[in-house]
Amino acid sequence: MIPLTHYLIVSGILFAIGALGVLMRRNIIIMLLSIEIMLNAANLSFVAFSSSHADFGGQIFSLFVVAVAASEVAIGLAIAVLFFRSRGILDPNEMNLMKD
Amino acid sequence: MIHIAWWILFFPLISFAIIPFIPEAKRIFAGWIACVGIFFSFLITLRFARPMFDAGEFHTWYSKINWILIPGLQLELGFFIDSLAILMLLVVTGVGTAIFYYSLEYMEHDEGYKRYFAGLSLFAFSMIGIVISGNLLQLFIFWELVGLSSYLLIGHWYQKDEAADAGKKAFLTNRIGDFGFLIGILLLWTFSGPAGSRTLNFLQLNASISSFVQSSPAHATGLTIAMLLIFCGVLGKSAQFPLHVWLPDAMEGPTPVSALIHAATMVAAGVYLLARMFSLFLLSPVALEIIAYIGGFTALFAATQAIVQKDIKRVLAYSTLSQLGYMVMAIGLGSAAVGMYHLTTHAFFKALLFLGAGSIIHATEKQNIFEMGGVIKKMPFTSAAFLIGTFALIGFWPSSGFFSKDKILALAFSENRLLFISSAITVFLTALYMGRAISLMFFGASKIRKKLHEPSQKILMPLLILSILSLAGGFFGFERFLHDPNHHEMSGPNSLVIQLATVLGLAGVFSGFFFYRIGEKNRKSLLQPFSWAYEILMRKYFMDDLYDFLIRYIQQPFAKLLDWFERTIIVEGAVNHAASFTALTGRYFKKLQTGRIQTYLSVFFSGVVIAIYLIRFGALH
Repeated sequence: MIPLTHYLIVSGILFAIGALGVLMRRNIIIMLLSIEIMLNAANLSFVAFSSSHADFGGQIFSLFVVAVAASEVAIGLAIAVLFFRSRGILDPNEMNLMKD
Repeated sequence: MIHIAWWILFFPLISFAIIPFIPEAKRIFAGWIACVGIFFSFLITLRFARPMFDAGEFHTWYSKINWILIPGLQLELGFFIDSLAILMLLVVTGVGTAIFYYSLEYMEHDEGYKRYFAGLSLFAFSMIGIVISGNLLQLFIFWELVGLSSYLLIGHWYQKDEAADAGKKAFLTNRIGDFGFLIGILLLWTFSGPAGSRTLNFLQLNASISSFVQSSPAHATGLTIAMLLIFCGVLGKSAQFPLHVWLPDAMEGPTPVSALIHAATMVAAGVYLLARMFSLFLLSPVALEIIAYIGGFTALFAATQAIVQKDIKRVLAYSTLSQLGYMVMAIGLGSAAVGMYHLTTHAFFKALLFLGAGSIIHATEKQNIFEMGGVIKKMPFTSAAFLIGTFALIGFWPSSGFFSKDKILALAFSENRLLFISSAITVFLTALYMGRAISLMFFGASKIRKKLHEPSQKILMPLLILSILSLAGGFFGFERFLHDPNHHEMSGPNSLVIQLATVLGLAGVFSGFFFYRIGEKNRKSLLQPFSWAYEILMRKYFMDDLYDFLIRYIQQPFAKLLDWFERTIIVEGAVNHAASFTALTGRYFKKLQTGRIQTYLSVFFSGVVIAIYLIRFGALH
């Protein structure tokens, strides 16, 4: 039996990796992937808590998160692809046409 | 039965709504639609009045729908029809029908024919609304609507400056009174119970206010103030001193309007309000006394001014003021029944007088009584009607005015001698100015070049009906309607008072009549020593000058001060500087918006970390 703490440590590490990825990479697709990593870190802790407390709520929540993540990626990737087609860039800092 | 009561109110409104859509080419229908609307209202009112005429039964109909329901404030729209309301409805719709019908001919060639009848219908709707309102707030709404329709009709010939000004004057003067009225309503509302169970409903107001007054002696003073504030509304609408100034000017409107609104019904709305709330006024003897004195004073004050007026409509306008003063005084002296009785008879004979005068004005195209003369030979029927109205106004037996005026005098005789004396003088003055008007208008050599002839039946029929009512109204026993436990019993006839009033009336008529028969030269020499009094009366006791002074030198500088305060302190200081402060901060904070998504995210993440730290270890723990 692996204790809860270990799951949480892995989850925390995954979350930190995801957060750093979003903050530091200059590629919008990598940033989207990093967000996925963060979401999955949250999922992992949901499931861990769920099994340790013998409560199904956490597992149901993680399913929700998966569904939300899927739709988010669908939209986010579509935007990224369209943006690359029209302007040929993926760096979010260059996306500044609306700035005054 | 109870559901058709709404139709009394809505028939004139429907006419009002239809009239604008009638094409100009078929405009004659506009008049007929208005007539039919008010006539249907009259028929339904008769249906309600029948049990009282037949069997002397007194029903009360009450119905309501909820309007605003929030905790602590329940307002409803409803109607409340008792014998008092039915009497008033009969007057409004009955006299109204006669005058609408009369207008068909009188306004026939007027440019604003449709506008006129739309205005009349709107007026009928709002006036009926006042009469059947079940609570004070609803009454106030219709009260204001009546003011609006009065404004529209006074200013019917708005191309004339005098008419436009008179409309504005009427509206503004009424607004002053209504402001007090509104405060009075709010005060009564707060008095009517603890928060949450307050009411403005006439059915409940009486019980809640009397328990309020009994709970503490200080509350009686509060109630007196509230009732006097409500009386302010009456001052404006019923044109009592000092807010009477608008009514003589309101004669700039068409004559049927003067007859209906500024003599028979609307100006009587104030008296009706006093009667409607009479049980509350009874709780405050001080307020009643003040009301009685104001009424008595107005009666005398206006009668003196009527003596010098040259315009027949203005003579009648001052006479209306004076008679309204009588009604208010009667209620102030403690009998709403007597006041309402005089209101009813006055509605008949004053409408008759105005319509008779209108018929003469219509034929001669003159309003100055000094330019008339000898009309009785050319227009015998109209003149007879006018004379009947005059007799009723003076109060000769057996006309209706005799009965009601006698009751007022008897009441004053038993309650307050000072007011009795002033009322008796007013009787003399009334007879005097009417004798003068008759003498100048109907007798002597004619000064009119035009060929005169009697008008058509559309004008004569209303005159005939109103003549009958003015003559015989005293025998119909309208006071039966007012047999209400809340009202005092009417005092019986008092032979001393009757004799005195008749003698005074005869003396007045004869002196008025013959003074203007003695030839102009003799008259001038007789009047010479009194030219100063004439000057005062013509200047209306300097009331207009007083208001002019007040507005020019007190209200205007004050308004200028407020204007300056608003422009410099509020707009320039507060508003504009608040705006520039916002602009300034905006300029600095704009720099935070870099547009770089990763900067935002860094801030966001550091914020989350700080928040978690604070929750776990810091101050928020």
